[in-house]
Parts: sequence; C-alpha cells; structure tokens
Amino acid sequence: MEESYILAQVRSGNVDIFANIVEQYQMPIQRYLYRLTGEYDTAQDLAQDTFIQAYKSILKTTQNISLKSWLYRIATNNALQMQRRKRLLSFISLGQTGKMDIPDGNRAENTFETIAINETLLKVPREQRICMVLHFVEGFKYREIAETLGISEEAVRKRVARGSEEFRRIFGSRGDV
Amino acid sequence: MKCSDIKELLSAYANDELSRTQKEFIEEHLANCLDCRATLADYRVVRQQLTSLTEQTIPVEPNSIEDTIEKIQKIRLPRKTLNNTFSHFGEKKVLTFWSRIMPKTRLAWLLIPLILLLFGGAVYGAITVVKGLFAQYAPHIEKAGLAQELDLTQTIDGITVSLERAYADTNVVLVGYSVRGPEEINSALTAELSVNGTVLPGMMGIGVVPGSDMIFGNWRDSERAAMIMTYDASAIEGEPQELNLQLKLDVNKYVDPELALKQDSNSAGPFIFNFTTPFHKGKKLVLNKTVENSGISVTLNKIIISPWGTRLKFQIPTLTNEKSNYVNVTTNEITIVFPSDTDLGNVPGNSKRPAISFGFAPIGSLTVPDGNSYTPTFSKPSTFDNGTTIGYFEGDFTGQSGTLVFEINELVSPIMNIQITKNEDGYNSGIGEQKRISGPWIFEFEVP
Repeated sequence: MEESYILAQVRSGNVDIFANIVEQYQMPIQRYLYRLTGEYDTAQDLAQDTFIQAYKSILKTTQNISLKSWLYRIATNNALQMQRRKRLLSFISLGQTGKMDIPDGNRAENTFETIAINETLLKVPREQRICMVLHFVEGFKYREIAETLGISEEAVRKRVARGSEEFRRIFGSRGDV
Repeated sequence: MKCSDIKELLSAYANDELSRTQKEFIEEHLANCLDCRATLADYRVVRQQLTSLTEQTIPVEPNSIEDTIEKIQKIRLPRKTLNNTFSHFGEKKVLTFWSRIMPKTRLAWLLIPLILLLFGGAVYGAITVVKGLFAQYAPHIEKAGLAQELDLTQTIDGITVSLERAYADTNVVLVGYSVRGPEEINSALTAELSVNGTVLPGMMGIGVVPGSDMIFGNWRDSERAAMIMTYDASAIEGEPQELNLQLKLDVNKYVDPELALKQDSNSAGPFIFNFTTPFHKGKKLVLNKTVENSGISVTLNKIIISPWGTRLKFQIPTLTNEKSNYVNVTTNEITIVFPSDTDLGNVPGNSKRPAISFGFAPIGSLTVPDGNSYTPTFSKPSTFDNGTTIGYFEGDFTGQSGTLVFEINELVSPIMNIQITKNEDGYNSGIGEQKRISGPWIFEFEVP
C-alpha cells in the first residue's frame, strides 16, 4: 500500500489502516531498539511507544521525511531518553529470579559470536553505535541515516568509521579476563 | 595524502558508500598501500560481523501488534474542523442543566484549569514522591498504616538527603529517602543500614527520578530522586519493641560517567541518620526439614511470616555435571559449561575455572491456613547465604494459624551442557539444554 495513501487515511480517522504500518515495522523497530538498549523487554515497550507517538504525530503534523525515517527517529529518541532516565533511575535487585534477556530458548540458539558481537556493540559510544546499527543491521544508506537523525552525511560517515574502529578494538581486546 | 586521513573513506568504501570518483581514488591508493589494504580488511570484518546480526531474530510477542493498535484506538482524535463544531448552528437551543453552569465567556473557560490546579495542587502536593513510591512498592504496608513517617534531613556539599519513611518487621527493614541538589546528582549511591553495629544485608531497592514515566507524588524543588531500599531483617535477634537503626549513605555527585571521571572524588557524604523505628512482630519458624524425591533432597530451613510478606528459606543441592573436566563460563545472564579442553579464546566471559555446579530454580506454590494458594517468587540460590534459595510471597498472613503447605512441583536448571562447535572463523558457538526435574517436594507444617 502506498505510504502517502496510508498517511492520508490515518489523518482522516482510519485507525485500522495504521495496523499495516505497525505490522510492517514492529519487528525491525523492536530489533533496532534491542540493539540500542540491549534489553528485550525494554525494546518491546519502547517499540510500542514509538508507534503510539508516530500515530499521534501523524495526526498533528505533516512530515517531510519518509515514514521509515520518521519511525526510526522516534525510536532513536525513545532509546536515548530511556537511557538517560535509566542512568538516573536506580534499580538494584539482589537475589531475584533469573530473568533472561530474551525469553528462554532463543538465547540458547544465539551463537557465542553473536553474543560477543552484541556485547561489543553495546560498548561502542552511543552516537556511533546508532549509526552503525542503522547501517549494518537495518540496512540504511548513509543518506537515510542522515535524514533519520537530522545530521549531515559527512557526520554519518565519520561516526560509522570511528565506531567500526572502536568495535574492532573492543572486540579484539576481549579474551580471558 | 596520509593514510590516516583516508580512514573514513576506507570505511565508507567497505560499506559501498562512496561516489565513483571517490572510489577510484581509493582503489588507486589501495593498489600501492599494504597498510590501507589491511585496514580495509579490518573494516570488512566488522561489516561482516555486524551484518550477521540481521539473521538473529528477536521474538515479537504474538499479540503485541494487536496490543499496540488497541492502545492507538484509544487515542482521542484531535478536535474536528470548525465546520463540524458549528454544524448545529441555527438549531433550537435547549438549555440543559450543564449548559447553564457552563462558562459563557472565554475568560470563564480559562479560569477552570486554574481553579482545578489550585484544588488539585493542594491535594497532590501533600504526597511526597517517597510516600507515593512507598505506597507503590509496599501497598499493603501503607494501607495498614504501618509505615513510619520521618523527617530527618542532612546537607553535605550542597546535596540534601531526607530520610522520610521507614518500616521494620521480622522479615525486612524498608527505608525511603529523597535526594535534592544540583541537576547532575541522583540517588546512585551506597546505602548501608545497621542495627547496633550489625550491617543488614541489602535485598533490593527501587528508585525514581523526575522525568520518568512513573508519577508517584509531587516532586519538590530540586528533588532529584526518591529511593526505597529493602534490607533483610532475619538476622535481628529476638522481638524488640523498636529498632535503633543507622542509615549511612554516599551520594554520587555526577551520574554522567564522563563527568564523573573528571572528578577527584565523585562521592558526597557519608550522610548518617540515626533513628528509631517500631518493630512489627511476625513468626519465625526454624524447620530444617528435608524431603526427597527424584533423587533430590530439598531442605526447608526457615519460614518467616511478617506483615510485609512470607519468606521461605530452603536449600536445593546444586547439580554436578556428569563430566568432571568441564569449565564454567558466565556470560551476562546464563551459565554455560564447556569441556575443559575447549579453547575459550573467543568466548566472552570471565574465566577458565573448574566450576561445575548449577543452581536449580524451583516452581511451586504456598497454601496458607485459610486455604488460599499463592505462587511465591523464587530467587536464585544466593552466594552470600550458603546457596540458600528464597521464596517470597507478599501478603500479611501473621493473623492466620493452622496448616501451611509449601510445595515445589518442579526444578528447572539453567542452560547447561552446551555443545561446542567451531565455525571456520574460529569462533565457538553452542546450543545447550535445560534440565527439568519433576517433584513434588511437599512441606506441611503447623503455624502457631
């Protein structure tokens, strides 16, 4: 379905048609948020917030960027805000039931390399990590990242390059502790 | 041009993000530069590693899409256009009760929110965030009016900590405090609670800061955080009328790690509060009863019933792996066991130590004397308490006497016995299994 048609329908009050957008982007947005936050449950909540906010903003404004970029922008902001909150919010839990990051089973299927890549990625500085995830995992071109984050393509190139170096450095320095 | 100057371009080249002329320039350079060829190879490895993540699936809850749509449907559409608003224009007006008391002027409309704000503010303002958080965290304690209101304040280095609420019983001591000060501070700190010099083990804590989605009360000026901490009171001897406690806190001046690193000392304090709080009596039963089933002996050591909740302390033997030459690697959340000859060079984790034990997680229920059955929350066996597993259920059963039944139906192991394979790049990967052992292990005893 044509994006502009969906948006026009949403603005005229057709809520159900928004389900198409949710269906199409739920998985990628959630996966993206998982990459940024490293927490499955958080990613799921933030994904839902992202769609709700996107829906509200579709009603209120007309965006001159693509819906995909718009959704990822909201998702990125949500993740950043959450991390700011989390940095400020303390939750210390000792001796709680072991809760797995990803529900049972799926985690076990992930190879160690995947776990290592994920863990390394989470150590790359945030701004660089966002650009890397959008490019490598979500398949965004640098131009699309620039549009999504509202920065220059030059900045994207810099962040991906620096982030890649950082990733390689951290990944290489793992090993036995 | 120096090689270091073209790093960014090399990365973009590896990612196919260069224009044709840029590409040609890079290829020309690469033909004559061994170092840059090596750098490019590195960028390509990173690319390959990260793009491999696209294959990893993230489970999406089956009804999450419906759930999202349902929430969206509840969002009220913005006010319709003027045409709709005045569509009844010219119709005969019938004055209902409501239309008579509705404001007639714009100024009158404007006054409504102001009046509501004044009324609402007065009621809302009376609840501090600590109190609100306490009511959220231990609602049954608040409801029963058992929490003690305190107003102890201390200021060090421009940071003010207020101890506002406390509660103590046979199971736990809860303290609630707020932190005020400059924007960069918060509650990330150490909080040590002691009774007559004996430090009580911390169990858990919950905190909230302004700007979080959770609204528990009214934030005061420059208030940065509210915290509730829970401490294990089971070490307290006897049944005193009240407890003399000391709370010792250290506040992190900067939460931003970058700012924190720049400081000579990031901690303010210690803030020390000496206070007395009423002790709410409960029942402490020492049982040390063992039940065996499926070859596994489970020992129930203690049960502590207090207004805060019921805690069961019991021990389940740890599993020993069949093969003794296994090593244990702990990633963030799962414990995995490898044969000791596995090369762990590429495995994230912390050690190559010959640890071979597993802690089981139980699944079970607690039936209280009035016949109601509850599902307790179980903790992992704690290392600081001789591998004791704790089952906890929130609710005040202190008033009930009679038979209490604690039943464990099943024991679930962590993921273990991972089979290792090495892929062509030399990385280890593995798939594990989870052991589930059926019981039941039933403990029945009388509560006086």
